[in-house]
Amino acid sequence: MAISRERLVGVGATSPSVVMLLLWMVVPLGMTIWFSLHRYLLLQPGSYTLVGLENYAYFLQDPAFLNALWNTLVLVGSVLIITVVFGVAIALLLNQPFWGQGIARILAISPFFIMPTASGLIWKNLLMDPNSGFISWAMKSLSLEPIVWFSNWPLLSIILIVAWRWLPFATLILLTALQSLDEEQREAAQMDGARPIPYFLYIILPHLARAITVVVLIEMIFLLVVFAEIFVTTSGGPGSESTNLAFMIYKQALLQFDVGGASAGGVIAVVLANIIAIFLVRLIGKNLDEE
Amino acid sequence: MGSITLNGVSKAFGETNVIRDVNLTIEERDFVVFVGPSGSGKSTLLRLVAGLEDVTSGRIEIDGRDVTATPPARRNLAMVFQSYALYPHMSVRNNMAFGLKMAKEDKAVIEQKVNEAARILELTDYLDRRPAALSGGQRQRVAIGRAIVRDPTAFLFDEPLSNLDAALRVQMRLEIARLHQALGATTVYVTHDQIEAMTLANRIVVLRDGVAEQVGSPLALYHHPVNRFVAGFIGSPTMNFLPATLGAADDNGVSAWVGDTEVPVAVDASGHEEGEAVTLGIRPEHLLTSGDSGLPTLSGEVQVFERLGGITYIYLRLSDGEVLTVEAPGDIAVKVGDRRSVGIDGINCHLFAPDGQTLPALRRHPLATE
Repeated sequence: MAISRERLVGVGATSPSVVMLLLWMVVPLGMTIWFSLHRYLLLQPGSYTLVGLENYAYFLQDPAFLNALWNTLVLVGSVLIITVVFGVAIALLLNQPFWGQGIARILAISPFFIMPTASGLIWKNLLMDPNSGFISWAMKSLSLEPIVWFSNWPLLSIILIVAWRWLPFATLILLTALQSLDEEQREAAQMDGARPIPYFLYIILPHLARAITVVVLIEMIFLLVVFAEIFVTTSGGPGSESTNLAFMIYKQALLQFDVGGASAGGVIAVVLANIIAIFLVRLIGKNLDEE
Repeated sequence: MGSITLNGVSKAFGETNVIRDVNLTIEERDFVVFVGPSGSGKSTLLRLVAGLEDVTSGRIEIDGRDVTATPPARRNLAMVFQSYALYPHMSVRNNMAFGLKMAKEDKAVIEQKVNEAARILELTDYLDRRPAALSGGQRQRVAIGRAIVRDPTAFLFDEPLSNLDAALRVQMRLEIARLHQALGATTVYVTHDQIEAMTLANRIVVLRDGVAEQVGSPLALYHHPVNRFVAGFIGSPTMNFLPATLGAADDNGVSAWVGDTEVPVAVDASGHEEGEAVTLGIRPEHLLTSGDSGLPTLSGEVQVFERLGGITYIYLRLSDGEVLTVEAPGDIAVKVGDRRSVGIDGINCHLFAPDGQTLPALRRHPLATE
């Protein structure tokens, strides 16, 4: 009796949030699936016909789809590698005692608080502009030919911008993990005669494994849907060289006015993201189970 | 192999002197315990020997070789840390083998040494486990195993038993004593627990504020403390200190007056005058509760008593307000508020000058070797 009453209270207390979350998730997903099964073009407002899986077939057979999928994987993979590798390096540096450490840490973290559109525009106009950008000026000062970033290296440019934003996040998480490394363990390794490189490989890196897993999983969620940086800089171009899945869906819906096709793309993206997530969690998720 | 010499070693952190001019020779096969209250510098002194801290001045020699500037790994010492400091992501086997791997030892040799250490420490069944899957005592043994495999010149222990519960602590204490007998390696051991110090050491270094107050065998410290601090630190419960006045001196020592009681004490009082205020020290276990012994007596009112079974501690409030701790037999009849007299034998008494120094005893205790 007491148990069932407690459970009733529990169900009653949690149900509003569960119902809200369910609506939040189910309604948009349901509408997306519903649209994806229809021919729904914004240029022909009246016509609205059920076409089954035709939109899916169309989207999957579009040569731009494989290209966008590839770009997405390259973008996610490169940014993950850059942020983890440099994140570990910067965290190691910031963990050393030096004068002005507090300020240096805050400065190192701050790019994460700048919104993606703003950082995209700053990179585009102030840093990477071939005529007036800082990088071009620096290269010209060294008598080098300036790089036309967004025309010649569109995907690389996007990767740099996104990595710049996510590097602080990785640094922050890894730095916190480094600080939890037991001082006596460091001394034990010192007594054991571990030189810096073996010490890094055998003590620090395994200690950071959990934190790296967290960084990879969280970043992946956001990197699969990068949009603002592409929108304000290359608009997916030239051609579709810097178009990822998120941007391709946007183009389908709001540049080609094909809501049905874009919805099918959205559903495909959800499925792909889940497949990647399952593989990744299987691969590195075991780090989270330990201890 | 295995002697350590400290020559005028000092250590300061900024303005604070943590270790002041410590001179100490640790002989081969010695078991030396650094003991002292918190903040006495005992751990710092051990870390100086290990090389984890650099000395501010002075010299450290191991086997006659000056190692003052040598990094820890090349001093060929092994240390067991208070938190064990095991590598959590490595198996017990790899934890023990890590130091040897770093020294680029041959694989087969490592394997054989680790297995041998595991056998000695009864860890063979746990070699493939991670530290997280072990009990406190087992982790402690892995930490010791990690030290053994390196076959070091000396073992350094930094309060190794303080994280264990009371029963396990006694067991591990015996195990460490057994290991020392079996391996015969020089050992330096830091603790704040004077029972560990008394039972394990063949020499104790009592530290206070970075100064080595006294160095000697456990019984030398117990029977002949050089000053009031050492007298109070060694022994449990702590020694009773009573204000006294010096009386007449003769060849057999000097008499000390505690209130109206005259206690003859066999110490050399030369340099001190009759009527001088001193402190008389006597341990609870040396006060006699059994009837008429013909000895001088002190009497007071029973304030509290604690029955431990085999023995009883009685806290007597004397007429001048001092509280005297008395060790009595377990079956003694006692009530709170009783008036009791205890016999005090001058042969077990110590006299301390106002500056805390002990007046030298005329005869040394037969067991108190240097």
